[in-house]
Amino acid sequence: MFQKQRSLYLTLICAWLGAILAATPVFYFAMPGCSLADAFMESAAAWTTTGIGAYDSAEMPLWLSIFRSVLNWIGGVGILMVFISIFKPRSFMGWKLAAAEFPGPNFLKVETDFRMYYRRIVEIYAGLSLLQFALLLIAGMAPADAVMTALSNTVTAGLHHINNGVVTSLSLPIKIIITVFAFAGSVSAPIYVYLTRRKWKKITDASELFFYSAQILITTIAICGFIEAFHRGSAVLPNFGAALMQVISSLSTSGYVISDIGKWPHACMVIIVLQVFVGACSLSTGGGIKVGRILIAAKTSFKNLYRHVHPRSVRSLTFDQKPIKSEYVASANIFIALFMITYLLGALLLSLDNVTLAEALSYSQAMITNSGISLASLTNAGLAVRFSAYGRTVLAIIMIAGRLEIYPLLMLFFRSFWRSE
Amino acid sequence: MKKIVSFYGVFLNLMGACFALPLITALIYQEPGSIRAFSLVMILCFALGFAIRVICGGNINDMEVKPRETYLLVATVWLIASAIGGLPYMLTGVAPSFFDAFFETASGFTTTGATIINDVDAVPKGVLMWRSFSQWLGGMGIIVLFVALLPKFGIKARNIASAETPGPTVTKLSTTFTGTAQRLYIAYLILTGAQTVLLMTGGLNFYDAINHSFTTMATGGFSTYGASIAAFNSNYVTWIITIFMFLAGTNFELFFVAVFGSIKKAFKNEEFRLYLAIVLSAITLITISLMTQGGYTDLFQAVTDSAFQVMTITSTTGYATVDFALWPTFSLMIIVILMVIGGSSSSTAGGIKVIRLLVMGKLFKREVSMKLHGRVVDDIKVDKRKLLPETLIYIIGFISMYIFTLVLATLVISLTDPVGLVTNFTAVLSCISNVGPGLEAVGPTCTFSFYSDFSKFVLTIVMIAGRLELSTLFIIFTSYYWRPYKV
Repeated sequence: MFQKQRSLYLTLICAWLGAILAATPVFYFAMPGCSLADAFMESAAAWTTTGIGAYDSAEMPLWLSIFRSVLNWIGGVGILMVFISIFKPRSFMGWKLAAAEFPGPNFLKVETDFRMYYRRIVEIYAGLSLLQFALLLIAGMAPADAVMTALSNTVTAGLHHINNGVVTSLSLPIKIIITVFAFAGSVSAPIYVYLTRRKWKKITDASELFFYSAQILITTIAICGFIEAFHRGSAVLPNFGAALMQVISSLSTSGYVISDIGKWPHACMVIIVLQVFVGACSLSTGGGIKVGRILIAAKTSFKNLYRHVHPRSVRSLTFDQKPIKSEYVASANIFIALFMITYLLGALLLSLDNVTLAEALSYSQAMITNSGISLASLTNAGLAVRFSAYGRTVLAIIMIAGRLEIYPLLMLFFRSFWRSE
Repeated sequence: MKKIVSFYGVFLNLMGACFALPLITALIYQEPGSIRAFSLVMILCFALGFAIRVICGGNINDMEVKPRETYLLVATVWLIASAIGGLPYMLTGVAPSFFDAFFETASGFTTTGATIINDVDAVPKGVLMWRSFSQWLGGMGIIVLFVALLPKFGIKARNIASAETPGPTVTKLSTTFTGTAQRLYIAYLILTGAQTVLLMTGGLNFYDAINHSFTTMATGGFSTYGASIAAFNSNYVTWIITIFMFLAGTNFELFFVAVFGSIKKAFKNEEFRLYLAIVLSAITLITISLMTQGGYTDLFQAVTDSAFQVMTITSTTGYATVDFALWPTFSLMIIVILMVIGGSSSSTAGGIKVIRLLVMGKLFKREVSMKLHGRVVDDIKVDKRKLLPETLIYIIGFISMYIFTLVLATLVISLTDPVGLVTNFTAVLSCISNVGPGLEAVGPTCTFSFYSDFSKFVLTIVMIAGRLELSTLFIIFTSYYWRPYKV
């Protein structure tokens, strides 16, 4: 049935738009006094794991918050992925489907049987959620909160249900658990498959994981340096911890405020916010451009410089010590350009609403990376208060574009997509 | 090696000769401070230049330049030119420190037009002439000028000049590269002359007319008035400059196609069509935005202001007739997007360039059809000519490098200057695309003077990198450049 790529993407778009539209009435009728645009945005934010909301979490009934967290979880792992592994339909074929829904450049294939692979991914995230739930209970969190946190945080959806994502008042053990699992959610899923099979060599070879961890550490140290320079004599270890927790929240595109960032120097915020573009590892539940693509693009840049010196060089690029096909190299670079263009166009559409340029630019970034975190939204605590119904609809569309890595939405504008064979 | 050093000797002599024009201006307007400064720098250049040539000897006409050395030559020539060109600013006291002078000259040669001078109206006329002239020199390229003037050198200099010419390709206009360089300069001279005459009929004096023609054709954007083009308060002048900015942002080769071939053929050029489409749609959108959100009531005024501002940003010139930083957010967003795009290839404009955007669009299309129909590999064609895979990798690699540089430089200057992300982002964007003004604190009515020396230095490097299409400058900082035989 799914021999044709076209119908595959059609299924993907229908599944996502259908899911978002189906959940919209739930939010609309459960929250009196809220518009249809609010409900649409809330539904899109829930499915795309963007840590922003149209409603104040304090006014939401408990069942709705739990419902939202469940949507977070399914959306984070992938709607079709969850569907296939539960119902096991015979008609789905091919690896391409997972590649289309599970973000990242699609050359990190680990299983030959794709259905096994879907199942394993769902199992991994279910396991992580259960573990997180148990740990949170032990650390003293209320059961309802623990359920929601376990569901949302494992798939880097943020912590919208607790005080709109501003979680500075939580106890230290809980913060540590949250940080560890936000990081776990932003690491490539194949890493866990290797882990269960004890393929340590594969894990140590994973350059993406290495660079992602290095990026987090360097950013944290840089932030500590700035805090030290501005607030002389403050304790180093708590600063390091606070910085690390906030950096992981942002770089994993979870997008909650966990440290007292109000007192941080401006430079720290810029360091964090600009890196949100990079986002998490490929084939993870995080958003953004993905570390893998950035690595390939950086290698392309160096390679181009190299080729100016050696015009006749034929060496191909390597990733994880293996040469990669030139079409993947091209795809990664093209995606970065496409991502930035979509980001700018999103900001252009947002700018029609009554907002400043800084708000348009930073909200567009927060939406397309599915983080919900931006320089402007840090002060607004993850609520889209400044936007009208039009603006909220645009926010929702940018979120969907970011979650599906743009191409499925871009295809809608192509004639060959609509033409029947 | 000796010959390469003697190349710098010839270059210094040329540089010295270039100071003649501002010196003459200073003599005419009798400005003792400027006369002293320019004659001093001129003597210094000639003395150094001749000293190098006497010591190293060698005739650069039979110079053999390896492809690898060209990058070093071009990058250092631009850096040296920016450093020496800054001396008059320091000697006359216009720029308070070395970094200020370096910034101002680099902004001139790279045709950026960002300034650190707070009060332009108080600057001596000779210095202002040098400021405009430096843009005119940098517009078509310092090395291209070199090649045009020294025919024998030009035979081997094709690579050197292509490292400096904007855009991904250098097409042949003539059988020799010197011929191409000469033709480009002839077109450049004719257009500059035509604009000067047209501006003078609009009531400008010769000094103002030539200064603004220099900076318009180079898409530089320095003005002799603090209020920029708004100082003339004339719709005629505004529209003349708008039209010439459009021409300066067009591929110069098209002028030859239009003159020696047919105008129809020039209009069939894909890049030109996209350029025209971008400009027209931006003008329309901003006009609508100004009429509905910006409080404009007169349609003609709205069209004039929007056309001028769109052209000044798209061609990366950077003049202003109104403070567009105060416009509605939608218009600002369009301006930001135009800053990224820039003008056409082989023009004097900066930015990513329309041709790369065009190729990028075709690549998106191919990527989508590959996803939809499996492995369909279509050739990417521009003007019915197939692009090689290597060219495509260079083009997409350039865009990635542009994005990396933009984001990294924004980060770096934010470390020492916490003046808001939009200010810093648009300042870097403006420098990398060689536009001039940014938004908010670096808007068209503001200057870059408040930045720390460190940030000014970073922005200067970004300007030069942007003008030399990034790789020419960055390549000399790589390890394999210095160890070419290491694999």
